[in-house]
Amino acid sequence: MKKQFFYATLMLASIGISAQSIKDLDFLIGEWDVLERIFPGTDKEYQEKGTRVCEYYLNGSFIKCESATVVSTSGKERYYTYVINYDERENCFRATNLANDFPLQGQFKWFLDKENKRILAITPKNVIEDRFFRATISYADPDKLVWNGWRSKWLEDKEWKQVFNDVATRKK
Amino acid sequence: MKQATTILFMMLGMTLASAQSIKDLDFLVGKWEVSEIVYAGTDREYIETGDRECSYYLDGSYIKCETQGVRKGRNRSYTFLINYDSEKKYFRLLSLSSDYPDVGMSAWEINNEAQIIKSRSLQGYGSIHRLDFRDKNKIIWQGLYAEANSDSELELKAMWTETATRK
Repeated sequence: MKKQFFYATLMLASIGISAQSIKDLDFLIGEWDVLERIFPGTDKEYQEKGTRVCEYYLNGSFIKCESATVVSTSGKERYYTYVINYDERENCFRATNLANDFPLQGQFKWFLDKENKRILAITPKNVIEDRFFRATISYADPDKLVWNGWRSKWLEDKEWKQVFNDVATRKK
Repeated sequence: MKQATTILFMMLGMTLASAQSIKDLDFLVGKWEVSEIVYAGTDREYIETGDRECSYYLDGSYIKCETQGVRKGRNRSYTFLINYDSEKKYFRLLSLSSDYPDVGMSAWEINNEAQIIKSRSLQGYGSIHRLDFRDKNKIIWQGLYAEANSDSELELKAMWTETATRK
């Protein structure tokens, strides 16, 4: 009986460790100042500066992050949103983005690496099918989230190229 | 010269007539009462009721429709995000729901003459929807499936019918 109780406790503990939910991304919630460098370190580099608000959405099943930025080169305003939820069947988070200046919606799988306090993001199937994207979002500092993204174009790029560096600094 | 101008104006007119934008779905904007009957006429029939609010979103490039519904005594929230893809020449509908993990993607093709929208999944699910917006204050949205009739011909039948009545 004692042994059965031990195994039951062990099983429950392991489920508790592996089970994830949208609440595991609670560190995203809040208001942020955002500075994004596009094509960082290259002669094409430019910036987008603005704000981001992340909150729970649809009865707490999603997190919605809405950003409003200004593009340094054109002075144009950009508006984009990420909606993120947890897919129990795939054991990963799903992030979908939409923007005012691009008609297609991007879809990403996010894997939470709690040990290293980061999210690893990939595109299972990108909207532009010859490009592959990956990203990391570090939340080691809960008041400064650092998001780096890389791209590789099929038959053109031999290595991953960094396409953006986004630093979100907590306002609230 | 006069002929060239006429042709130019005709071409311009045709382009303007065929060009679509999110504004073509302006009739969706507003507050709605929603009633949806699912599996009508079967022993599985049930009704979901709720409220919907549709407004422009992301600098007017999208229409966002947020619905709070009650289905079998349980609260459900879901959102449609609709924009226009000028390259593919159809509207794109993204659907998110509090009770389902998949984010749906569909293409909406609008027939302004018949005042009907045909919707098909972009994820290969084979579902077809039909929206009738002849009455701008009562939009009827049906989810259809094909079933063989007694002559072995495929007939489209409604799996669910939703009526949105403007408040």
